[in-house]
Parts: sequence; C-alpha cells; structure tokens
Amino acid sequence: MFESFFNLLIQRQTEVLYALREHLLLVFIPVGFATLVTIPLGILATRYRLVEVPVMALANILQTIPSLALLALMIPLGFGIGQRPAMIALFLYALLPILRNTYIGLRSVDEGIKEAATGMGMTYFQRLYMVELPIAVPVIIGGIRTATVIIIGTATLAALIGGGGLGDFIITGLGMVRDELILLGAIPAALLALLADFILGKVEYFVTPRGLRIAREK
Amino acid sequence: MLELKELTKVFGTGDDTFVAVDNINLTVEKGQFVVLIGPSGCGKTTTLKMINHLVKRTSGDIIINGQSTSQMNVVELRRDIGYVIQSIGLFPHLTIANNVAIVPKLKKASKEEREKRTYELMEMVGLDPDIYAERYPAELSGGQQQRVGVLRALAAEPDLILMDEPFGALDPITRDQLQEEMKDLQQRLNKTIVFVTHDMDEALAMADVIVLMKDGNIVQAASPEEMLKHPANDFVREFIGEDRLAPQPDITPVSDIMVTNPMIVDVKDTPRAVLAKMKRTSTDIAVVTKGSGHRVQGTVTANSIQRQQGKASSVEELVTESVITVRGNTTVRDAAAQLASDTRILVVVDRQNRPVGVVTRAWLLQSLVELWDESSSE
Repeated sequence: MFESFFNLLIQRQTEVLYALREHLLLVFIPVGFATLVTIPLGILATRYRLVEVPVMALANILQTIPSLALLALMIPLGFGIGQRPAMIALFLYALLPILRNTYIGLRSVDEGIKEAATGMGMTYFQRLYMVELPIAVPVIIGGIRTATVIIIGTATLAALIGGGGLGDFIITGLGMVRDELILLGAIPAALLALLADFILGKVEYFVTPRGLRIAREK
Repeated sequence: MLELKELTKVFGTGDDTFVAVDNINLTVEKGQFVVLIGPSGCGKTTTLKMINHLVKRTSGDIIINGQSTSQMNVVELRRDIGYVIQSIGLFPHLTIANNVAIVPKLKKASKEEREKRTYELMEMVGLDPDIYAERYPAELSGGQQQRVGVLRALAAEPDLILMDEPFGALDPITRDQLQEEMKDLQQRLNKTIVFVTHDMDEALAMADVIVLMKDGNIVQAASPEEMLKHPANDFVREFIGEDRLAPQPDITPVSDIMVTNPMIVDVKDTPRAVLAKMKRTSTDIAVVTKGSGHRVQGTVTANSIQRQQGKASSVEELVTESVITVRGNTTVRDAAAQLASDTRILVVVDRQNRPVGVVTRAWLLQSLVELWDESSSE
C-alpha cells in the first residue's frame, strides 16, 4: 500500500502541492483573522463584563457545533459552496481557542502586579502593553497554536463543501475506495499539523520573556 | 504634608451598604512615619488606597501639600506617590533595574538619568547593581524582592510613600531586617510614610505616630510611647496587648516614675525648720542643695536630724555626702540596680546638677506594681 502511495505521490506531486497550498490558505486565513478579532475581543472581555458574557457564550456555542455540521451549515445560511464559506466556517471554529487563551492569559496576571502597575501611575493602556500583554503573550500564542493544529485537521473537511485542500484527496479516495488516495491527503495533513505544532511551540518559547521562563523553571 | 478631611468610604448601594471609613480626620506632617493599624475590616487599607485613588472616596477630601487631590490628574498623582504592597508585585518579565526605573520611565526621564538613579538606589540597600541589575525578580529571595519593591517606590523621588503591609509576607527575621532598613531610609531621606499593618510590634518599631482604627473610625492617634502609657480606652489596651503594656524597665526612663516634687532644702536651713516641714508633708528625706544654683549637696533624713537634735545649727552638718545622682534618661533597670546595692535614694538631676526628682526603693517598688496593675486590670 505504501509503495503505491509513494508512486502516486511522485506521479501527482503538482496536484499535491497545489492542494497543500490551498490547505495552507484554509488554515492561515481563518486563523489569522480569528487572531486579529479575538485578541482585542479577549482584552475587552477581561475589562467589561458586558462584553465578556455574550462573547464567551457565543464562542463556546460555536465550538460545540460539530465541525462537519458547521461547514455544512454554510450552505443553508446562504454562503453557498467553495473556498470562501469554508474559510468562514473555519474562522468561526478558530475563535474559541484564541479567545479563551487571551482571556485566561490576561486574567491570570497576578492581582498584585496589576495593583502595583496602577498604583504607580500607569494608564490602562500602559498597564496593558507594558505589563499584562508581555506576561500573557505565551498563553495567547498557545491559543493560536491550538487553533492552528485544530484547523489543519478540520480543514480536510472543507472539501465536502467544495473548499479544496488536502481533503479533496481523502474524499475522492473514500468514494473510490482507494487507500493510497486517502493517504495522499491524510499524510501531508498530519505532517503539516505536527510541523505547525513544532514551529509554534518554538515561537511560544521565544516570545516568553526571559524573566517568566526563569520563574517557571523554578 | 497630607491631610485627610472628613474622609468617608461607603461600599455598595441601596440597602446593602458598608461604611468602611467613617468620616475620619488626620494630619500627617512632612517626614512623619505614620502607621495605620487595626483589626481586619477596620478601614486602614481602604484609607490608604483612597490617598492614591485606588479606592474612590465617597465624600471628604484629601489634601497633599495644601492642594486637594480631587482636582488632580489621578495618573500624575500616583506617579508622585510611592506605593509598596504586600504581594510585592514586581514585574516578572522585567529585570531588577527596569523594575526600579519604571516610574521614572513613565515620567519620561532619560535613559542615563534612570540608570544612574537605579544604581544609586540599589547600592543604598546593599543590592550590588553589577550582580543584580540584570537579574529577574524570580532569581531573588522574598526579602530582596521587597527591597526592590521599596526602591521602585523611591525611584521617582516622591515625598510621600504609601505602604500596604509591605513586610507581612516575609519571614520574621527578614521582616525585622527590612523594618530597620526602612526606618533608616525614611529618616535619611526624610520621606513621609503612611504604612498599614496589623502587627503592633511593627507599628511600635517604626511609627512616629500610630493611628489605631476600628470600624472605620480612628480610635486613637498617638506616638508609640503615648499609646503605651495612656491607651485611650479598653479597645486600645486590648489591641496593644498586655505583654506590651507591662512595665518595661529596660526602656522606661527613670524620669517617668520618679517623685517629681521632692522636698528640697538649702544647706543654710536649720534642722528644726526642715524637720517641721518634713512632718507637714509626711516626708522623711530631703534633697539638700546649695546657693542659688541649687546644686545637689546630698540628702538629709528625718532620722539623722532627730538623732543630732540641738547639736547642729544648719543641715549642712547632717548631709550625707555619698548621694548618688542620675540623669532623667537613666533606665529604670539601671536605677533599680543602684538602689539595690549602693544607696536607698537616687537624686535625679538635670544638666546643671539641679534636682528634678528622687527615687527611693519603696517608691520604685510601688511604681512598678502600679504599672503592672494598670496593664493587667482588664
């Protein structure tokens, strides 16, 4: 089976690379937008209870909808089929991990540290960018990492609504009962997930301020 | 320097309210070390936090250097007031040097100024900048961290520093050490400090003025000595604790317990007149002085006069010249030691060797008993 997989891989490498590129777009665009939206939203949620309650509730609800159902829902919701509705669904799916980590990261900054910052005369924004965000940033990156890995997997389902990506091989392979075709989508997707996890893990480490790393190692 | 005027804080709204601070008035002079103390919930921390507007006051006013703080920009105000808290609250992601320099940075001091100031401060508390400047808070012990916390509060050279139980989380030995250092720093730099604690020993060790609070009110504001000697009421007495109120012969000066109006006679007085005076005032010992300078010559007792009756024409001939004189700041303990071995009367004299009081064995004993009774009568 693996022999036929490798043969197929060599044979259809242009197609695979094209699918990989599509897949990367299905991951990075939704995760990128989710990051841009949720970090400010997470900050607002820690500050205003009025934002916190509805936003966290909505993100939690979105996460409980099965990913397949969420993708399929794009059609009755009027987004139709193709890459764009797939990206919208994946974007919604990426919201919670990042939002939750931004919120938790900021919330877990020690009260004493926040009180000292305010008491010494920092404005709200100074406290945010000089103290809270530097301390919370590893946790926020952790959220982006989780979201990225989840979306790499979930994006294989995008093929079901014509979103393209590595899922195309898997769906076709399932339909034609050809294992090597399934692997042609599944293996690169799995490797991509591992690679993203590894790279973002490194990023997480390097954005952690040295003082916090020392504190954690203790 | 700092004035709290009819300061009040009410938490909650409608029917569910709690008066944390109830219309208090307090004046703090420049350079004073004022300790707010009281049981939990007495309003001491709330009072402190109203000064730098971390807690918004309900009514009343806070005046710093003659200016009402209600007119001031809160952020600017806080940058001009040092603030030290129990949980220390150092920024874990910043180096020690950057932690210390944070307020000067907020106040836009130049990099050179900040560095110079940081190094000076670190050296002042014995944290070698070459070793510690680039370290992180997590690499320091609790005591060292709070030293940095204090430096951070001092960095922008504020006149007023607020400290909220700063040494509460430290072990007792470190705490004693930091208390001493803090008191020393305060006196050296002439800072005005408002310090919150629930530890009476800490208050006694550091305060110029202790402000004892209960249920949002000031029960007594007095110097440590005054509060120990004259607790305003039972609550104060109870809060201070019996063991602290007990006489402390090691530190109490003899001037506190001496007889302040001893009989003083001149060397020229006749024995008969002195004896008559003694009978009138039920005294049996008098201090004999000479001339207008009233320099102490010795003492004379009723006994010696009676024994020598008729033979001496003035008390000069009857004076016991071996009298021991002490100054008013001699401790009761030292006075007691001398009374136990050398003499039955001590004459307390001022700088010019003029008598200001006497202490006898019987008197010493009686005053110790009285002090004891006072402190244990609860």
